[in-house]
Amino acid sequence: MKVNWRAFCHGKQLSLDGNEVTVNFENGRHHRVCIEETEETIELHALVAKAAAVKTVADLPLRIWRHNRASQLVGFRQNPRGAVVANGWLAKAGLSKEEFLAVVRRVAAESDRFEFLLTGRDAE
Amino acid sequence: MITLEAARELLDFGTRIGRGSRADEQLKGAVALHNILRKQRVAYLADEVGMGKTYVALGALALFRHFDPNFRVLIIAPRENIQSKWQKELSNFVANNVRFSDLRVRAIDGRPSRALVSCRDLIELVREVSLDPNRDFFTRMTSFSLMLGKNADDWRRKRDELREVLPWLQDDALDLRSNKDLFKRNVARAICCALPPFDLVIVDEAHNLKHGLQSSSARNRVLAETFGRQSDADPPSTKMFPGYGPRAKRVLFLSATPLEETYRHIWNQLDLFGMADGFDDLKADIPEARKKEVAAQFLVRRVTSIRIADVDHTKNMYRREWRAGGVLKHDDPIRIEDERQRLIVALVQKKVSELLGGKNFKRSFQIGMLASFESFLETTRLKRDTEEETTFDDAGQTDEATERDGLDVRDLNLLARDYRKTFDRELPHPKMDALVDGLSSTWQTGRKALVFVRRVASVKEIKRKLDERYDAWLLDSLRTRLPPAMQPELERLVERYKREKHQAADTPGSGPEDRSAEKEGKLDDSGGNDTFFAWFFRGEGPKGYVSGANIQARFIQASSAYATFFADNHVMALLGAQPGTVLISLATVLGMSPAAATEKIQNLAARYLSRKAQDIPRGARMEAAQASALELLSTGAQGTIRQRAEIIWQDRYRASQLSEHAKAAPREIVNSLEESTFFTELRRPEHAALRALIWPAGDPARDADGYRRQFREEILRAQLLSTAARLGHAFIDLYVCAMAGRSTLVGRGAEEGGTADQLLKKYFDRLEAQRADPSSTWGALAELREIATHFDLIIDVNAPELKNAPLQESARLIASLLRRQQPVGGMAGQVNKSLVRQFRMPGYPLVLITTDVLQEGEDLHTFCSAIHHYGISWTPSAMEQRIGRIDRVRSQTDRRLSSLDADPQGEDWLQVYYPYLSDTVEVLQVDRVLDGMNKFLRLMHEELTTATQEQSKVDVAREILRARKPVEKIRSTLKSSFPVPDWALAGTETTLAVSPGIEKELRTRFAALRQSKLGSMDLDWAKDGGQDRLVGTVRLANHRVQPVVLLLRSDQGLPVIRCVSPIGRTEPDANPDLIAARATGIPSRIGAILTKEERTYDLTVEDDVLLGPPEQDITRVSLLIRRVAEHADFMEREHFQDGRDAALPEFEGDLRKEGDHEG
Repeated sequence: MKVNWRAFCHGKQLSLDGNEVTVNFENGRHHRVCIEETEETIELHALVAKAAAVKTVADLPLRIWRHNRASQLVGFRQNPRGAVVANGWLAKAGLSKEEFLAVVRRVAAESDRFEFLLTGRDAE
Repeated sequence: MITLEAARELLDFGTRIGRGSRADEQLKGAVALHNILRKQRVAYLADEVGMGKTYVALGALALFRHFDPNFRVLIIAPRENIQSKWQKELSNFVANNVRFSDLRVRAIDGRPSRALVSCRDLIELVREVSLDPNRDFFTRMTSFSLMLGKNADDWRRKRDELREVLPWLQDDALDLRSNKDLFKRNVARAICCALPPFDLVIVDEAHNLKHGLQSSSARNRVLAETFGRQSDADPPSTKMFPGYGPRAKRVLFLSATPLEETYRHIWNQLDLFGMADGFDDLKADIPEARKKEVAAQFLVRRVTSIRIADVDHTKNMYRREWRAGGVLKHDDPIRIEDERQRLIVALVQKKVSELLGGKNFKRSFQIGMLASFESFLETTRLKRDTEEETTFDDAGQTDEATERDGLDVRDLNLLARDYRKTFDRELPHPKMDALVDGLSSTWQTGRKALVFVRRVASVKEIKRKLDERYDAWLLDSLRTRLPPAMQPELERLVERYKREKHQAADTPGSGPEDRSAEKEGKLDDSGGNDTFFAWFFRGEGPKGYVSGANIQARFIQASSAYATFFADNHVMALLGAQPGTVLISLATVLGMSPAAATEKIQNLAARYLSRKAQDIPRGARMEAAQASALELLSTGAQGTIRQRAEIIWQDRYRASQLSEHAKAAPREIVNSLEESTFFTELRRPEHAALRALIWPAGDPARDADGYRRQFREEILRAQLLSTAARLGHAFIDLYVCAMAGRSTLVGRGAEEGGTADQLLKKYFDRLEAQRADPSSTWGALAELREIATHFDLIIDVNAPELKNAPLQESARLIASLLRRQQPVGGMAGQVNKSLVRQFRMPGYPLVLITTDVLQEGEDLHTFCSAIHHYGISWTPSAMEQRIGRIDRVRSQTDRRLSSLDADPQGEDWLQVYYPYLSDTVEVLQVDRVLDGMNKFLRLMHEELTTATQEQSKVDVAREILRARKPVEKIRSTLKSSFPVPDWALAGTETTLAVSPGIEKELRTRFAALRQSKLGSMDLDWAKDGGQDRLVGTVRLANHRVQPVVLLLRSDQGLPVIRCVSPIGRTEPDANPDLIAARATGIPSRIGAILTKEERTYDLTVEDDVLLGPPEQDITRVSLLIRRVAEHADFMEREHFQDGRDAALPEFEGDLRKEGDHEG
């Protein structure tokens, strides 16, 4: 199934570079979201914080899992290297620009906020 | 900006207060606030007390969120009880006043679209916003005081708590060596960093912030820093506090009393949130008229009125103020007839005068903070829940320690001790005695009274005196009404009660304010010694006697003769049968013989009887007989009876089926179908008039839905009626009926005494006699009639959750409302929620004595029309807030006056008492406060005054020399100086963002998922998932199963399906790293439920998908289910490694509760 998601990436505070969309926020911060396609879905990934930045954070897995219960359209986990990453996805079937941007923005915003809470920085 | 018409399509304010001008005013208010906030970023709603500011504010919020689903809100309530009230009101508002599920304000299930999060302190707020900022947050103003504790360990703990959320916080940022003020400010700055920007902050009772940054308390500075109100003089380091800055994009202030005597107060409030720019004229030295113009840009105040006999009366007109000080006769002072009392008052005045004349006090005192104005008894400082000792409530009025303790306390204590030693009795206090005299007839009239005191100890003292008066009345009544043969036993019991009460008084911690049971959430009633009612009618009662408590227990013990007294025979009612003819009617309707019907009922009844029971108690027999007969009718009857039997069985009896049930039921179980109960008797034609008063039947239902609603209301009314009849004042009549015909109070076993039928007859005779004589003193019928007449109001204000609660749970909820009743309630320190709820109902408590803890927020208006300012408050606004507790929309006064055709008489008005002794210096403070109240009225309603600064002190030397001129009440019609500006209603947005049709469309699409095969997926949906959830089992390609629940939700206004699948019970906090390592391989999210509650699972896999074009629903949802189920199955296999493959029944109960906004 084909979806021209790149055509959706025009909008306020968005920029596209390869498979990466950068979302800029009102407070001057920004966050990058990587887009991948599968046959039926579009998978969104964002790096929240590298392993080194979160190695001293207590009870990180529990914090992530509680967060996941509360949040919608975006989830967090640690990758095998220990970095915190965010995931979101969309079904390609009938996908609209509005839906695509809603989820991209949600993944970027939540990732950015989580990055700030965990590291106090704006690296990703 | 939105138009009134567009707002009306979304909001309906008339559902609770009735359609008409009041509802229109609320809608206008909501639209005006929305538009003012859009334009000015700040708005102040200063409607008079009791007009429903909360609802207007919620209306404005709904309008914002409807057009911007991402709209983020924080609500600051003054204290805990009001914080939870806001949460309840938001849920109620969304359910009742938002016309349809727009997926933005109201979710598809009728609840708020965003989860509501209550935070007990700022650290919890930080934790919660870090979990998910896209929810609605509720905080307390008191949290901004940032109680740090006394030592460095407490400070360190606070720092560590913050670091859990903000691990990057540097030591320098929260230096434990800094001074307390700086440490608090830096904590606030760190909190600010963690907070997301809020589109709207609502500040309830915002006048508490009126001193702004000029306040001596740290609270306001902490609040300002928390919301990033940057100080130019001392900006925070951007390195230590990255991201620090404004957090409130808009602020809505709410208060009926936004200022005292200067517009600077309003500027101060705006300034705390960095919103004062552009409004500096409010604090400038310029004409008041200009200040009014500036304030009118964002401040709205409406006045309310009651239309009495075609004339509008504003608040000042329908309040009858007792300004002369007396409480027995209007405009009469308290008269001290007794010479000894006059002497005592003179002596105390002399002492007080000497004290005030001393060099320490400069002839002045803090208003409301002389103990002698309230009592001449010894004053000990009382320890409150905050561990803070205090003499007066709201002692923050002054920073002077001696004044906070009451400057006359020491001398008065010496005097009180000396008097007791010399005369062996307590010093009498004419004002307290007059108040007690005035209130001691309430148990004969049923008229409630609210008494405010300042001195904390006065709560207990007044309560004790009133309890003594109540005892005298109750014992007199029992002596008159119980059979003569019982009198000697009664007198012995009275002696025993007095002995035990005396002993308890000597035992520390046995006071009437014991709230331990409430804190623990227990329903148990341990009785008590504060009144004979508590001792004899509540708890266990005196052992070995047929006490009130003993009789009361018989109504709920399944084996007692009275077990089914308050049950209902639904089968008899449905068939229109009479006792003795029910089985025959049933068999006829079913088209079978009575013997065949008996056999069928017998077969069905076993499922409703416990396997463990040796004997089947009366209550269980009745329940099983009703359930099985209705089940039989729901399948075997025809037409309306079949339909209604099915509804009754489903809603009332289906949950009575037991998993461990008996194998067989006895044949005699059908005899229970013939039983008369209180409610079957009420249905008899000869009691039609009585029924209309206490259990009115609804209009005939037109269809099944109508009957379901009607049946539900009938049950709830019956539950409330019967619970009131056996727990409070009304129970005294029932008890007397139960004792009539007996010869002794001594118990002789549970079945001793009359039968239920005999009691029914006596009780109905009693109720009918009271009906025939409306002039009789306040008794059971009066209380039950009030409950029936105002049933909807009672449920609305006390237990709105009852409207949707399962009928099996509703009886328990109602019992918890009415437990532990006391004729006189006392409250200080913290709000006793149970007492407050009971005061909002007819019956006990008839008098509620409270410190200023109830001054704001709690509504007490539903059945109370009298307020006593026994201890006066120091600001006019505080006095107005107090009166506002009983002067509100739908108040008892409102109902009474609105229904009058003729001019009201004295007793008809809302009574406001200012008890004081006119020959004492107390008169000075009363005049000061009354004068201030008049000034406040002029300021807000007529032209502005250039009044002097508010003063909490009275200068005795200056004021005593002025000839006293009574402060006259303002009697003319009030007109607001701050009406809604025309521009605020002239919006351009005329259409809503979504139309009402979306709700139905989504429900249809969601229901279609159940019918669909969802592609190639092999799944089974369980029955009864509900309208907004589907519970089922997925069979995976590996031949394993995975339970799932689908929830219909919304996000940013878009429909979303969430899928949750349980992994199992894993104790995730025991070994999180292991689970995390396994979860790295799956893109779906792991969810952990960290709770101490017993659950069948605590680890889940979950995910969401947006719903787009309807034709893609199946594709999208099947993708969602597949990824969640497969990942959950993977985690189950990896985690447990024992081959387990848990199926739906293991998790079904908890899965059905998913989506209830829990963490």
